[in-house]
Amino acid sequence: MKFRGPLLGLVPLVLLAGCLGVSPEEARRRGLNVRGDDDDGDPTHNPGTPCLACHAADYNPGDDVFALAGTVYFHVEDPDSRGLAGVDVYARDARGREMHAITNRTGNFMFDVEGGPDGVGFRERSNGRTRLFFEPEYPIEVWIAQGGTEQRMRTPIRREGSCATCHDALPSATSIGRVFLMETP
Amino acid sequence: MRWAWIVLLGPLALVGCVEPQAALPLPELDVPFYQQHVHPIARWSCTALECHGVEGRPLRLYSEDGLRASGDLRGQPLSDFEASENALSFEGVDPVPRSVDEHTALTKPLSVDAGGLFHEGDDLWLDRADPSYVCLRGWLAGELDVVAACEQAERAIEPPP
Repeated sequence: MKFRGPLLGLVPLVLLAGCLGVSPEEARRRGLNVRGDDDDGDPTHNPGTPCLACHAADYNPGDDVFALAGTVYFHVEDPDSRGLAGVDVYARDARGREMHAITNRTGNFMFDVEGGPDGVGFRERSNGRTRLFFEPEYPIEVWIAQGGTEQRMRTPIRREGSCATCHDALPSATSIGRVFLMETP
Repeated sequence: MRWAWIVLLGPLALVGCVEPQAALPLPELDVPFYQQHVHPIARWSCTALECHGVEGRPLRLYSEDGLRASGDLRGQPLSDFEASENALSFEGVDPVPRSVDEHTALTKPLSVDAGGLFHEGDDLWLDRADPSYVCLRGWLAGELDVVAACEQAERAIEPPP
């Protein structure tokens, strides 16, 4: 019983230890090269960054939760801030359910979900948003179109809801480059 | 009762002495066959940057739309080096399978209901008759008379218009 005092003194230290450091999700979010306020609910923020880093079902300091979201550019090498507005983004999930969104002024689009895995249909909203009434099932095929030009993703998305996770700024060994509409002349 | 237990213990102890099924070294994998017939299937099903196109992940695979061995290969066809490395990855993920049909590269994408293993990337094949399974199995087994299955699989993965 005479050890109770020191043990009680340790309890706050143990509790404090739980506050040290950050979760992997938080560390990833902090590592993103985000521009300006990223938590203001404006769907034009942070084009070119992996949206689900802050808007995933299991980690969402940005409040909104997306199933699939990204930024479309005119050319593959365009800078982060020059996304392309008014691009039709189409997707079809493993069950053949189609979805559509139109990019906003910074090229961003996002699909959020209201419903379970067996729902159907979607509703286009403003500013790049579309609400799905089902949880899309992978693999998901994606294609984009504008003004008679179409680009189709050569391989389906298997699990990653953020386009920018694989489509990072510059083509490299680990990135295929931006989601783009036109081949560079 | 004591004798009955002792009688039971004998066979149980012997079970521990049973030799496991002999392992089967794979034949040397044919890289040109991989490049021509297997890679188009792997490119569609396996090599995405969020799946096996990741350094350090089991069955790390290079591909045109996924991970490249170097940045300057982006936009280029799969190089001979990358094809060889992919073949080594297939070999390395299960270097001494108990049988070809138990090779991890075949059992992971195969539906659990069909005898496969859980796969983070979901079931790719519902059964062993899937042409992609037949193609990959033939290549792993060194039985390269599976070109028709490979071509059938490749036709099936053409993106719809």
